[in-house]
Amino acid sequence: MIVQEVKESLQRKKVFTFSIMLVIIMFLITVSALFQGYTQILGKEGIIKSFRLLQEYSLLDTLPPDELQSFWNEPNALDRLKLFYDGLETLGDAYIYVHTQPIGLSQNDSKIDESFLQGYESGNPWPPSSRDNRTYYSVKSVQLNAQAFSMFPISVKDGQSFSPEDFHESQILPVLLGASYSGIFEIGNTLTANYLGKDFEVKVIGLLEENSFVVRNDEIFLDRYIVMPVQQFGIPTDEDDVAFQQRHYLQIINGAIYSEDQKDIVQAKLEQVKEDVNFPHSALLGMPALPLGKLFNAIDEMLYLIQAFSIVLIVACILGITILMRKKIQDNYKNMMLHLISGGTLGQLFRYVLGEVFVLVCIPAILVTLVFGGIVLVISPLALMLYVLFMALCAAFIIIFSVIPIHLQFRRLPISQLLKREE
Amino acid sequence: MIRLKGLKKSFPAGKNSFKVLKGIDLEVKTGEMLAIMGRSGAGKSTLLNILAGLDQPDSGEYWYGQDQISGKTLDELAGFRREKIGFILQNYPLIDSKNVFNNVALPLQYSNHKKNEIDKKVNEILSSLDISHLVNRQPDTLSGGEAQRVAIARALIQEPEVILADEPTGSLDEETEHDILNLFKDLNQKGNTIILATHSSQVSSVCNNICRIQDGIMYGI
Repeated sequence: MIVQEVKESLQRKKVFTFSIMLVIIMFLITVSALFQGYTQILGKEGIIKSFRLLQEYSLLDTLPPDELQSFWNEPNALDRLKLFYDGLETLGDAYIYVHTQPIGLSQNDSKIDESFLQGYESGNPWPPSSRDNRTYYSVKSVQLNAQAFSMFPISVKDGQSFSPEDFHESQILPVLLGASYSGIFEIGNTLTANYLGKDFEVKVIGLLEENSFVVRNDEIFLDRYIVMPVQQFGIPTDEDDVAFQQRHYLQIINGAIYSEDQKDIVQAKLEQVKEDVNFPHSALLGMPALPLGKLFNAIDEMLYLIQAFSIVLIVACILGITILMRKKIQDNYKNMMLHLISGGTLGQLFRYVLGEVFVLVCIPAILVTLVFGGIVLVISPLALMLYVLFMALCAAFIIIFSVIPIHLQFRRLPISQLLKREE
Repeated sequence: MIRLKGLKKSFPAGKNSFKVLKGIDLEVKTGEMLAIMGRSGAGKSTLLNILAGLDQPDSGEYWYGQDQISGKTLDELAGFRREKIGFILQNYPLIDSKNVFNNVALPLQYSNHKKNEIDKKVNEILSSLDISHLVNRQPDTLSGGEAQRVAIARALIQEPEVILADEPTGSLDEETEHDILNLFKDLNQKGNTIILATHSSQVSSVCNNICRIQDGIMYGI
């Protein structure tokens, strides 16, 4: 009987039914969008949360160009530099090296799209250059050292990720490609790339998930980047190799130490390394900063805004439904009274209202969940489960808090008063 | 059959209360056709609501046979209505979202009758009141007299011992009023106890007993 009564009541005022469902659909679409945003922000926070408690101490080499040559003339200069880098990697704190570095990708057969070129975002893509009958495109790349790679759990969609061996010298340099390279190069392709003036054979070992990112001051989305491991090299083979390794190591010592310790402690550790390897040309740069402080603040602010907005929306929706349902009940007093004189009870009448609210909320909730579920599934299956749970909770919340005032109204309403309202 | 003793009822009116019934004593015998007369606001409807078990008195006793009705719970009163009472109202006799069949069938649905039983009983009662042809019509397509006949069919469908009618002909034209009153007389002659609340002397003239409510007090005529 409840099904029949709910159906009749919904059909009795179709415009009302449609309007209230539309309001609920709009509300649920809005909270779904908020949920999606919330999940993505939490996902990002999850990726970089290991930085929350750390302070960032940037390192800078103190070798001005005019003193550089005299340094290289010192005995074992390159070896000391390499040892200094080893010392940074084994400092006890995280030594992070994330550096955007254009590399010259040799492509004679096909043209590289401008969006992959260095300078594209600033509207000034670097033009290709020619050398030894080869055309080199300056494509965007990011270098990560092993610790940076382990701190950012970068997901590979196809192929394989870097292994610890990939951070040591190898005949072929393994690289990961951003998602936008899909269809341009394939896993297993071997390419020629020029890094700091030296040509390398590079091999594509994996393709990253879309929207993968690393953070260095700001987010660097990797879709159009080539990700290179910071490799450590052995004894140089010739003079050119010596020059290359000098450039390489002098560059990769300008990373940052991420530590929970105060500056004096980190400074002391650095001084110890410098002294141990006899490489005095490095210093901590400025005051320590909370790494990604701006990003964390923005995340916190966004989460707070989303939560506040969601609460306001839910309250507004509940108020709207309650007011509309109370109005509908008032319009329905006559029919309710006829149910009562036919042997119905207030409890049964309340169940009809509850059933109606249930249908009014659940149909939009199911529709919106079906539509948005597909979108949320792109984030992850877990996010989809959470989303379904979230929508179920939203629906339950709306039903409960919409029905409570109506229930109170029923409890307070003697039947005689109900009859009087129609007299 | 029905015995009221010192029945009182008041309604809240702002911070005060408005005393509608100030101690009603009444006895209605089985098979009686009683008119309760009085001006608007005299308390006729309130008294009928209490008799129907739709409302409860503040104090006093309401006996239906050997059964004390005052003091029952709302659910018990609903059961009492289903079994014993048929109620007819003046201005809003039918549920607008149901057709004639479903309006008449409503009390049977609340009594959990089976579908074939409901079909049989509804068709029988519509036939006995000469309104079988209205079975699939919606209330908004009925005339006032037809709607009131359907309401009477609904009140009779459970074969109640008592029929209560609150201004049953208040909004009908003279000819239709006459038809409806004849119908009540027929029902009474078949053994139904009927209590009518009315302010019309024409309606009360068909009853075999009349009492009047004035200022919350019942006076016999």
